[in-house]
Order: sequence, then C-alpha cells, then structure tokens
Amino acid sequence: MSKFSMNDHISKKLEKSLTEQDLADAGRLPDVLTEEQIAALPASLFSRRAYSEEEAERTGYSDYSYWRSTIRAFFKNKAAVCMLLLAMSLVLFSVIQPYLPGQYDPNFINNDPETGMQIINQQPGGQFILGTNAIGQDFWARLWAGTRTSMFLGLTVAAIQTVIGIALGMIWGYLRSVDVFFTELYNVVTNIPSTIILILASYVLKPGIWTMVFAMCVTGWLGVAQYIRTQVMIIRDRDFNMASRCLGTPLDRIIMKNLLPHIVSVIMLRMALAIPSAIGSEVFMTYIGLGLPIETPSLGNLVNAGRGMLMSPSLRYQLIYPAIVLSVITVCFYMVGNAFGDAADPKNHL
Amino acid sequence: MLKYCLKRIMRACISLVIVIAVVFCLLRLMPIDSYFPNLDDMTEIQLYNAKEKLGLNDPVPVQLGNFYQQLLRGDLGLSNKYRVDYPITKILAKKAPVSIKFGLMAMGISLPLGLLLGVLMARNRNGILDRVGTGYVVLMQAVPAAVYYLMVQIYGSDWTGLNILYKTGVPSSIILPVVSLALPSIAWYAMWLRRYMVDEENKDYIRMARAKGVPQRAIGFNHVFRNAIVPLIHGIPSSLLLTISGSIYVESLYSIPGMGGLLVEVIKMQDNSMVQALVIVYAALGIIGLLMGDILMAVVDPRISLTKKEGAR
Amino acid sequence: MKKRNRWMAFMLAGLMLLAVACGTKPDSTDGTGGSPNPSNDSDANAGAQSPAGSTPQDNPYGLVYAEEQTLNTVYNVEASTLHPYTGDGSAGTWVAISNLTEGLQTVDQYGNFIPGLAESIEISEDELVYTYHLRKGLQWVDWEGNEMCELTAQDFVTAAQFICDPANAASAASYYDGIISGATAVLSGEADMSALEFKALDEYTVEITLERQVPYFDGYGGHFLPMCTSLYEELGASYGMDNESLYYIGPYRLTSFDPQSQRVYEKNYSYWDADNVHIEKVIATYNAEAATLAPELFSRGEIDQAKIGTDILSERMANPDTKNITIPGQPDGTYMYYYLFNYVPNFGDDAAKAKWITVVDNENFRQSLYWGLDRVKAKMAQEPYNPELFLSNTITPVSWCSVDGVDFTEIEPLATITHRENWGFDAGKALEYRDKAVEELTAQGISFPIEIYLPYDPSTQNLDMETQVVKQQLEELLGTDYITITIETGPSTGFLDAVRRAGNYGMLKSRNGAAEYDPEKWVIAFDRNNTWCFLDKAAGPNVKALADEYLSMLDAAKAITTNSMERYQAFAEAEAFLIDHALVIPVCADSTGYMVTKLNPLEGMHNTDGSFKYYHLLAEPLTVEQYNQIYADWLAAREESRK
Repeated sequence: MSKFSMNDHISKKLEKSLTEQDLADAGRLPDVLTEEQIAALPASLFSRRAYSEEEAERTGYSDYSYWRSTIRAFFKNKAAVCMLLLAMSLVLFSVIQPYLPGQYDPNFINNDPETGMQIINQQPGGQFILGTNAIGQDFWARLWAGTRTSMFLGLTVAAIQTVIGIALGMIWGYLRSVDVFFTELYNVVTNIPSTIILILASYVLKPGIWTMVFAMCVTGWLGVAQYIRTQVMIIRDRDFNMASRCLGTPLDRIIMKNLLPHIVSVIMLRMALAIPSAIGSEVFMTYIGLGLPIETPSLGNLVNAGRGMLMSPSLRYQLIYPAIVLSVITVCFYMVGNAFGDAADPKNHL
Repeated sequence: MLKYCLKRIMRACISLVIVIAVVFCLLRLMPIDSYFPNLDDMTEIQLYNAKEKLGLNDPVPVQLGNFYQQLLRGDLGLSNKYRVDYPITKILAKKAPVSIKFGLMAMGISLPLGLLLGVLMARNRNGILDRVGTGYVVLMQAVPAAVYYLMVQIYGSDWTGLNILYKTGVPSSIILPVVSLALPSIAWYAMWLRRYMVDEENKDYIRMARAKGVPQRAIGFNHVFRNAIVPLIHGIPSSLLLTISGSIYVESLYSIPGMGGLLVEVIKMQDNSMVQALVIVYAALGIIGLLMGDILMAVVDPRISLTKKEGAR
Repeated sequence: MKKRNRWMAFMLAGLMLLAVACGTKPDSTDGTGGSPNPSNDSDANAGAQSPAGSTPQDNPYGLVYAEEQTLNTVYNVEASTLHPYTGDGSAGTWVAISNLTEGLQTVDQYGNFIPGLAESIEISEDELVYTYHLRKGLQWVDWEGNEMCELTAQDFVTAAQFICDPANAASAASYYDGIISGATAVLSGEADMSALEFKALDEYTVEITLERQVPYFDGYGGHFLPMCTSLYEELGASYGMDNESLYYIGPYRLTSFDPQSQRVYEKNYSYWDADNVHIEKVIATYNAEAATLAPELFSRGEIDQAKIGTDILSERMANPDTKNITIPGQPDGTYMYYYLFNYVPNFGDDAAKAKWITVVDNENFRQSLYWGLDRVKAKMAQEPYNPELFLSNTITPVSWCSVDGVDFTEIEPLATITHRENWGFDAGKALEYRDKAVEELTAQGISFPIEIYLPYDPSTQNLDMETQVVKQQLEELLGTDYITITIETGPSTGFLDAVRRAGNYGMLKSRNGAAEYDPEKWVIAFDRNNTWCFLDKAAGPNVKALADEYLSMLDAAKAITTNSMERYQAFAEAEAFLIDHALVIPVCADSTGYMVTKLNPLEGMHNTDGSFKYYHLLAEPLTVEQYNQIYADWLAAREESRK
C-alpha cells in the first residue's frame, strides 16, 4: 500500500464530491442553499461567533464521511446487498417464526389424537410443513429454533471476541510494556489445540449454550487481538499519522479518524467470518459428542442427527433442510463480510 | 541470524513448558468419576491404588514435576486408558506414518492443483473460470465438513465401485479418502493465492512495470506470482509437519488407523498421559513448522531477512 | 473478490444439496433397486456344497450356511487391553477377551451354566467349599496356534492372586471381596496372599473356600479365568499387552491386534470344544462411524452384521426388502431401568430441599406418578415399534432366576405386580392419587405446582428424547397446576458423581445390573449405604419408616442362604413392598437393538460377552420370518432345558 495513496484518494474525493454532492443533496441539506436563498434568509437567524482556529480548519476539511462512503461502497455491490437481505431475513424470520399463527413448539411432541401415540418421521407437507422427527416434534419449528440458537451463538461469540479482541489488541499495540506478556500468552495459547479447550470446557461445565460461548471466546479473542495489534503498530508509525500527531491532533481523533478506518475493514471481515466459524465449531462439537443438549435445537444438533439418514431416502429431509440453512448462512456471512471488508477499506472509496 | 534462531528456539521451548503445564492442570480439573467406570464396585484401598497407579495421589505440582523429569528422560510415558500400560511412543509410531502418508498424498494433489486453480482464477478475473472456482471455494466453506465427507464416501463409492472402507494392501481404497482430504485444501490454496495475486496486481510497482512496458508474462510470473506465493510458502512446512495429526472426519469414516480423532478420543477417555504426549508432539511440530516457515521464506523472498522482524503476513 | 460470482457460488451450494435430495430418489420408488448384495447370490448357490460338517442335514428354517466361514464386522468401541484383569471391564474390552479365554464354567445358548475348562464341580455339604476338576491335557496356544504349555490349576490361582493384589486395582475384585474366604483381608492389605482361600490342590484341582454361604455361587465359575503362569512370570506387567504377549485357551486366538484398526480372530483348534466353533475367521474392523455406516456396509455385502439405529428404522420398515431382514431387538437383562425418587435431596436452596422432602414423603404423591407414567409412550423414543416387549413391572427381570421351576417374578405377592395391566399406567388411579396428594399436601402447607427436578445423562442414547416425552406426558395428564417437570442436561462425563451420587436430583431414570442369577443382586439400589436414592437415610418420616421395614425384610431374606423357595419368597415380598409403596417406578430392560445379520442370534452363548462360539455364518441375511420361528422354538427349548 502506498503511503500517499490515502491522501490522494481524499483529495480526489474532495474534487468529486463538490460537483456530485451539490446536485444530489440540493434541497435536503440546509447548508447547500443557492445564493438567492441565502440572501433571502432573515438576518435575525444569525449571530456572530468568535474566531476559532479549530472551526476554521474544519471549513477547509472535506465533508468526507467515512461511514457514509463505506455504506455507499457496500451498497454498490448488489450481490452482497442481496446476501445481506437474505441473511437478515433469515435471522428475522427465525425470530418471528414462533409468533406466527399455527406454529408448534420445537420441543412439543405431537401425538396422534386417535391412537395417542407419537407421530414419528412424518414426511414433509400436510399438517407439518417439514414433517416430524423421530419422536414426533415438528421439524419446521425445530429448524427455525435451531437457526435461532446457532445465529445467537455465532453473533454472541463474534461480538464478544471482537470487543475483547479490539480492546486488548489496542492496548497490546499501544503499550509497549504489556507487549511481552501478551506475546507470550499468544504463543502459549496458540500452541494448545483449540479442541482441547472446547472439550475441556464442555466437560467442566454443563453442556449448554453459554458453555459453548465461553469455550469459543476464552481463547478466540487472542486471534483478533493479535491482528489488531499488528495493524495498530503498523499504522501508528505511518507517515500520515506522524504528521497528524505533529499537527497536534488529539488522541481520540487519531484513534477515530486515523486508526479505526484502517482497522474497521479487518474487524468487519473477521466478525462476519467469526459467525460461520462459530457455527462450524458447534457442528464439530456435536459431531464429537459434546454439543448442545437436544432440548436446545441447533443446526449442529440437527445436522448431526440427520447424518445417519443420508442413506435413507425417505428420511433424508431431516439432513437436507438444516444443511441448506447452514450453507446459506455461511455463504451469506462470508460474502457480506468480504464485501463489507472491501467497502470499509478507504482505498476503495473512490 | 544464528543468534536469532537460537533465541527463537529458546522461546519456543519456554512456551512448550508452559503449554504442558497449562494442559496438565486443565486435565486435572475434570471429575475423577470417569477414570474408573466401575467405581461402584471398588474398595477404598483399590481406589487408592488405582489412583496411585495413575499418579493422582500426589498434589498437582508434584505430578507436574514428575512429568517433566520423565520427559527429560525422553519418555512420553505409558498410556493408562487408551491401551492399558502400553508405551505411548509405540502407539504413535504405528499411527503417525499412516496419517502422514495420507496427508502427504493429499497435499501432493492439492498443492499443485490449488495453486494452478488460484493462478487461473487470478489471471481470468471475472471470467467463467474465476466464477466456477469461486463457487467451488465457497461451496467447500459452506457445506459442513461432517456432511460432504460422508457424501463423497457414500456416493463416491457407489459410482466408482470402490470400497467404502480403507483396507491396507488395497491401493484403490486410498483414492476416496485422499480425494476427500484434498478437496478442501485445493479450495484453500486457490482462494488465498487468488487473493494475494489480485492484491499484488493492484500494487503501484506492478503498474509501474506495466507502464514501463514489461511483458505481461514476465510481470505475472516474476512479480505477481513470486510475491503472492510467499505468504503461502510460509505455511507449507507447518502443513507438512501437521499432516501427522490426520483428519478426524476422514479417518473415522474410512477406518483409517491414523492419528485423526486420537486427541479427541483420549481427552474423552481422560487418558492424561496420552493427551499430554499428543499436545507436546503437536505443539513442538507447530513451533518447528513456524521456524522452518520463516527460514523458507527468507530463501524464497530476498526482501526478508530474519534478523529484522517484519510483519510478513 | 468479484461480486457477481457470489450469486453463482451460492446457487452452486444450493444445487449440491439438492443433488443429495434427488440423487438416489429412484432407488426408493422402484423398490427393486434395493437388492442388498447381488454378490451374495453366488454364495447362496455355493452354500449347497458347503463343507459337510457345517451344513445342517435338513436345513431347518431354510438356513443355508456360507461356504467360507469368515465373518466380517465393524465395531466402534476399542478394547484397551487383552489382559483379562487389568482393563476396566468395559464391554468393548470384554468382547475382545471373551473369545480368547474361558472360565471354569461357561454358559450354553439358553444361558444355563455348563462346564467350561473345569469338567466337574464338587460342592461340600455346608456349601462353603467348591472343588473344580479341570479337563486334562488342555493346551495354551500362542497367537500362531503353536501349543505352548498345559493348563494347570495354578493358572487359576495366578489369576486370583493377581486380582486380589490391591496394587493391581483389578475391577474383578468385586467377585472376590466378601465372598471368597480371605479375599477382603488381602484386598485391604491386612493379610498376605496366603490367606486367600483359592488354592490349587494338585495340577487339575482348584479349591475355593467361601467366607459365607453364597446361594448363587454355583454359577460363579465363569468369573474365574486362568492366566498362563509361566508366561505371566516371564512377562510380568506386559502380559496381555498385545496379541503376541498372551497365550490362548478359548475358542479363538488373535492373529492380529491393531487397536483402532483391525482385530483378526482365527479358530483355535486346540480348544477343548473346537467342534462347536464353526466360524473359522473373524475380521473385525474398527470404524468410529460404525453406527452411521454399518447398515450401508451390510447392504453392499462388506460386512455380515450391523445394528440398525432407531433413527433410520422407519425407513427400513417402510421398504419390504429391508423390513424383511431387519431383526427386532430383544430385551437384554444386563441392566434394569427405573425412576428413582431422591429421599435425601441435595439440590436447590433449603426451601426447595424441604419442600421436596415433604412432597416425596407423601405416598399419594409418589403413587400418582407411579400410576401416571405412560411407560409405553416413554419407551417409544427408543423402541418405536415394539415398546411393550421391553417394559417391566418389576426390578428383577422376568425369567431371570427361578426356583423349583417357578420364576421369581411369578411368586406372590410380586406376581400381582408383574401382571399389572398397562405396565402400571392407569390414568384414573393417577388422578385419584393426585387429588388425595393435593389435599394432604395443601394441609401441610405445600404450594402447587410442585417442581420435579429431572436431570438426565446426555451420553445415554435417546434418553434426551425420552425425558422430553415423559415430561410432556406427565404434565399433560396430571396438569401443570399439580407438577412441573424441570429437565436438566447433566454433564456428559462424570454424570454419576455429579448427579446420582451427589443426590443432585428429584427424580432420575437410573439403572443397575446383576451378574448372578439370584434376586439379591437386583435391589442393591435400595440397600443400606446405596448411592442411588439414599432410601435408608430418608429424610421424611413416612419414607424412613417404610425404609426400615423394607430393610428388615431384606435382611431376613438375605439370612436365608440356601437356594430355596423360602429365600425367593422373602425376596419377592421385599421387592413387592418396595413397588407397592411406590418407592420406585420400575420401567424397562435394556434392548439388544434392531439389527441385520448373517448370524442366527439365538445360536450363540446367551450372554452379552460377544463370543463367536457356536455361530454359523449364513449365506443370506436372516429374515424376520426365520427369526420368529427360531425364537419361538428357542423359547420352548429354553423352558425345557431349565426343567
């Protein structure tokens, strides 16, 4: 990355925005009025203000808004927007599904009213949209409950990992005194197979969603922190940041305007990828027999229970539907994350 | 250079000692109940002796000290649950070559194919090949491994008439497991090589070279590919060494007597001496792999010198 | 990253999944596509010319034996050792060992004790001294089948001393402790080995002196396996470490022992009863995914037997081809299951404990659950097709032990309970008891609904499903204003320690097993100092009184040490008392599970050891029709053999 590219981009952007913005925002933003309109404004609305160096500098600054540009760049990517919509509608639907009329409880065992026996392995269609499972629970409800659980798990893990990772990563990158400690910690922890930690946590604690969140977060944040630390160290000593510091820019502004934009793309990408990977870990944990209890349906539970049915054509639906939802979620987040990562990179804000 | 290497190795050893201690203590957190499935039938003295046999009666620091001493003698110890009183080195000596064999074969396929696919995708950006390739990469990420390995096995053996299970001495039975192992790695190599090559092509010096009139072929190979491959090469020694750990999914499905799933198995059994031995082996190989990766990179990429620590990734 | 590609990629992912959906659909619809293994047709024809020794004269049930008696199987639980006494005694280890050695006694295909390595037993007048006379000239063989040395009485003594050496912490010690004279002292380190009254009188005679009369000791010989003395002295700790460091005295020797890969058994021609060993070679391949793959492997003819999980059962039952060969499971008396009430609760805060003590002390409350539990519905989670076959009204399984030709469970007053209709489920009675309980408990100031804390062990297959069924069924019947059941998933490792032994439950589905054909061993969960339901320490006064009465009945029964109707009568009364007062809710036996097989499952030894002795490999999978005929005849023959 060229050291000057950032500045080039911003100045180009300034030129461009002057013409584009005028047209686009006319009539909406009150500060883009025509000469006549300004002249027509009553003087009583205005009062004089003292000279302020800082404010004066602001007028020379562009109206470049990092987030606005990021979002605009993101929305240019139609496929990613569709993916985002799809992901959001999946999440949204899984949340509202229980409140729709005519839904079954995912753990409710349906009995045949005549015989009083459970309606097991009912084929999709008819009374149950996606049929029932081996003890007569509605598979449609379980699928969405599973999606809910897995999405919750993924989002929570991603959020916790990112928040802790960023906070400690910043400290790690900025404070030289803690560098040795964190580096050694990182060396040690990355050498402990993560499966050990996942398995141990599931053993020591009761199987459940919070155990799993804990197990995935307890070391997962280190990866994020290490990445942030490297970025912080690189950017900290960049020329533009030096220049900015020499000009007396306060620390919060340095972090918000100089550091964060560079890191946001990475953060977003990592966070988006952390969601499918957390869900993937959940599937793996279920596979080795340490997953969530069955009364907490999750995609991992459903996929794992369905694996044995791959060879049974009439029961295969119990594998296919959860696998499809799982794949869709993974692909969506993967692509949205990539697209947002691209969009958040200031280099791409042209 | 030598000094740097020595320092690196020293630090690696220290990490290893700490890793062992951490794992050792974590394992002692687990309930004692599952050490002895027939606890209901055991007398007090028997229980005491059984624990004595596993070295569980001493306080944890003493146990840890004993373990380090034993390690210094080059002894990984005896398995106590997985195979009662059997030397761990013998178990590993039998299993590791199998995993390595499969891993190397899979790597032998996936590395050239993956790199080829990556180059083609990058060269053919937005073309049909790039789209198909991206589709394949995403597919490998999206479908859970637990599902597609099973599908490859069942449908693969159905269509080709090959054995479902691996049989020693039947060469055709290695095809499906190796293909299964190679599929995701091909996607992995292709994805990253494409990414690095695309990044590299956008760099100013490439534009400069192009403006200067350097032929596209020369740019592509001398600059783009050579620089893009560097981060991938860094990981190759580790991947090579860690083929020893095998794949839990593939080895369980095909009955391959390798190391895949061994760690999970012994953790679940609470065969602590096995867990420690495996963690040591894996961690040591991981550290060596990283070191070799650094050295290899210095060879491939003249810009990097090991004496100056530069963020290569 | 090019954006438009992603659409395609995504669609591809979808397509791949759809391909699974459609891929093999034709198979399921045309029905004939499922001919399990065409390669087997040739076997069937060849079967007619099988070796003379292994072909039955009149082909009963139309069974045709395969020409090549090589059995292929897959397994997913590995043996941790071949040493008969250092392992944990788990089923996986035992399956490997049971084919390689034999005890003083063994069992036949009906579960009757028959002579094993010992030819005959003499029992002293006072039933305290058992003298076993060994068969003469039996040879230990090594893994290649070479005869190495002769079996002597000392080999049994070596094994006994190994077990009783407390340093070895052998799990088999429970067969010695408190039973064989001197064992308790030796095991606790108070006496040296010479105190153990397990002696070799001469080369062919083993004499065992008991500490007390043990009515079920006449079947105990199967627990005494020999260890080759000379080899053990040579190898010490590495005895039985692999197939080369072990000599064989059983029906098979192990020619290859490759843990987590393969085990190959070959027939031991030096075995004393080699004529009854028909399968020449067994190739058992380890596969961690055996539960998923075995049915498919079987249908492609790669293996000769496979268990069918309940998850794919309905598919197989819908297809006539597979239905025809899917042999139903049989009750397996290894373990009996029951719902326990915890009488010394150790969960929640003091108020919760106090409430549970009061509640569980009320007999009507317990009765309402006893009569309210629909066992059939609960068992359906595990056995969707024939749940009633496995249910039991008693803790001691039916046809487990009998005296004077009368089955234990047919002795009054237990017989009345054995024949309770609907396995004790009676909605009307349950509601009656509920109303009484509500009345009494309200008077005692108990607030409703009562929370029942029901944890379950997640490592027990399908128990999670069953627990959900039970919760819903009981709450629906008795009303959520009366009880609410709180299901909790226990830890998958250390469940017993954390939940049952710690008393951290209100109700719990639990189990125990018994190895002896005697009623005494089935009720250990209710004896003194038990770690199941703490009945003897019950905190509530009513239960405490019942417990004391029960324990005195039990003591009286145990005091009768002759194998007589009197003893059985006393135990039957005690067990009936337990169930009558709803101190426990008996539920069911284990199931052997559905399977497809080319063995006749009723041909082998009737135990769970997994020995291949007596079996023939069939040319074709056994059909359900054949099996039902065989089973009916087997039941009759067993009845006959027990007279």
